[in-house]
Amino acid sequence: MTRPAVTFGLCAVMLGLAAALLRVDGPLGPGATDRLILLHIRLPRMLLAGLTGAMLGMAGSLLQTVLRNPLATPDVIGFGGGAAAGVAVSIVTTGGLALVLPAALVGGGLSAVLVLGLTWRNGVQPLQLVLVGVAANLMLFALTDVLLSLAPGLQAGETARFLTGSFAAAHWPAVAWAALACALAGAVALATGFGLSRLDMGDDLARSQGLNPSRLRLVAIVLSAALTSLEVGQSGPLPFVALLAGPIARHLLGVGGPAIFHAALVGAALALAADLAAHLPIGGTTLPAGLYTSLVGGPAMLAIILMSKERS
Amino acid sequence: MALSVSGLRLALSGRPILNGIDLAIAPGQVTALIGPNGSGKSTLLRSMAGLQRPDAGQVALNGAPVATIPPRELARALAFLPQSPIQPEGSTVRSLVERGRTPYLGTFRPMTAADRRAVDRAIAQTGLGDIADRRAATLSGGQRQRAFIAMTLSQETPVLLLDEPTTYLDLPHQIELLRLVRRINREMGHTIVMVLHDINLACRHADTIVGVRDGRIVLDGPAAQVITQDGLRVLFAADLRVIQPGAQGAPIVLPE
Repeated sequence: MTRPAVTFGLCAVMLGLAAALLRVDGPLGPGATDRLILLHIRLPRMLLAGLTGAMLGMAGSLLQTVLRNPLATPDVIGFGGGAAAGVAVSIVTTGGLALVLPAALVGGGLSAVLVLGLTWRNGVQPLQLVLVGVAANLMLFALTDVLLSLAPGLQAGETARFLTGSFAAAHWPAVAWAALACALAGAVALATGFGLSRLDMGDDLARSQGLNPSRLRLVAIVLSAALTSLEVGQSGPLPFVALLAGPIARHLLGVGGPAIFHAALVGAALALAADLAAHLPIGGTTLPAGLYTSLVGGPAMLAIILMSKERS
Repeated sequence: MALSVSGLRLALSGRPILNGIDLAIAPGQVTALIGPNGSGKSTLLRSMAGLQRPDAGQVALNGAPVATIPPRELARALAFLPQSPIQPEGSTVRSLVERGRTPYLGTFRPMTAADRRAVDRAIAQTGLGDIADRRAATLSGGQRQRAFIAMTLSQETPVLLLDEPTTYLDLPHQIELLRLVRRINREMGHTIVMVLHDINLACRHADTIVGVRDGRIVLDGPAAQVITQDGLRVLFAADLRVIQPGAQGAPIVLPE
C-alpha cells in the first residue's frame, strides 16, 4: 500500500471507531440532557481514548526506533512500571486518587533516571538500557504487588482497579493534557524525524555522517518516559498498545524506517477499539479497556513475529 | 586536504590502545594501515574520523583539530566506512548510496537535484548502474561492499577512511575492490586511508604503508622501502620472507 493510502485508511478506521464510541451506549437526541451526556461524558472519553492511544503509539515507536529493538517499549523497560508503582504509592498512602497523576509522573521519571543512570557510558547504550530496564520493570511490579498486598482492602481494590486501565473516568482537563502531550510529541517527532530515520546503520556511521545519535536517543527516551507516565497517571496502563503500534504501522507501510505518525494513528485506533470493547456487556457488567489490550496484545504480538518471519 | 595526527594517546576501559601516535597522511594518496590484531590500527582510524575522543594529542584536518569542527561540517570533509555497517531493512542500492547525502540534508532540507546528481555519479563510478534498484539484501558480498563505497563517495568528501573494506570478500573481489579504491583516488584525487589485513594487497594498492604495533607507528613509507624482513620483524615480531622484485614491482611477503 502507498503511504497516503495507509494514512487515509488508518484515519478512516480511527474516525469510524470514534463515531461508534459516541453512539455505543445508545443514540442521543437533540435534548439538553442528551447534549450534556455527549459533551461531558461521551466526547471527553472518546477523545481521551484516541489521544492516549496516539501518545502510547508515539512513545513506543520512538523507543523502538532509537533503541533498534522491537521489544524496547516504555512498558517493557520500566517507565510504565515506575509510573504504576507511583500510582500505587499515592493511592495507598493518601487513600484517594487526588495525587495519582503527579505520583505517576514522579514514578515514571525516577525509573527513567534510574535506568538511564545505570546504563549511561559516554551516551545511551541501547542494549544495556533494555536489559536494565526489563530488570527495573520486574522490580517495580514486585514493589506494586507488595503495596497491594499490604494496603487495606479498600485502597488495594482502588489501586488494582486504577492499574487495569480505563477511560471511564475521563474529563476535559485530562483531554487537554493529552492533547498538549500529543502536540509536543508530534513536534519533537517531526523535528527529529530525519535523524531518527538514519540511526539504523549503526552509530559509527551516523556520527560520521554528522548526526548525534546519543542526543537523539536521550530526547526520545525522555519524551517516551513523559508520555507513558502521563498516560498511566490519567487512565492507568493500557498494555501492548505502545508495543504493537509501531510494528503494525511499519507492516502496513511495508518499508523499514521509523513510522512515528502512523504509529500514533494505529495506537489511537487500538485504544478506541479497546474502549469500544469496554462497553460490551459481559456477564452483566463491562470490563476495562486495559484488560482488552492485555488479552489481545499477546496473541497479536505473536502474529506479528510469525508474519515478519515469513516475510524475511 | 591534509590530515595529521600528533601525540595521540588513547585508553579504552583502562587499557592503553594508542601510545603516542604522530602521523602525517600524504594528501591525494592511498595509505594502508597494517599491523597485528589488536595493534590499535582500527582505533587510530576511528580517531581520525573523530569517532573516538583521545586522552591526549589531536587529529587535525588542514590544521584544525577535528574535535573542534562541527559534526556536519566534518562530515562534509571526511567520510568513514565502518567495518560492517548494518544494512537497513528493505534498502536498495540507491537508497544506501543516498545515505551518503545525510550531512547535506535535514528534516526541512529534502534531496535536491544536486544531491541526486552526486548519488548518480557515485553509482556510476562504482559500476552499480545496472543494479541500482536491486534490494541490498540480494547483493553479493562484493556488490554490497561496492555499494557502501558508493555511499561514502556520494558524501563528496576529499578524505575517505575505510575500515577493513575487504573483510568477508574472496581474493578476486578483494582485488576488484582495491582496484576500485585506487581508481577513485587516481580520478578524483581523494585522500584515502584504509585498514588492511593482507600485506601483499596493501603493498600493491597503496602508495604508503603505515605499520602499527602496540599503539605506535613502527613503519611509515612506500612499500618498497618499509616492507622488508627487518621491517616485518618489528611489526609482527615474526620472521617472514620478503621477495623484492626490483625497481617497479611491489614486495611479496611469504610465510617462512
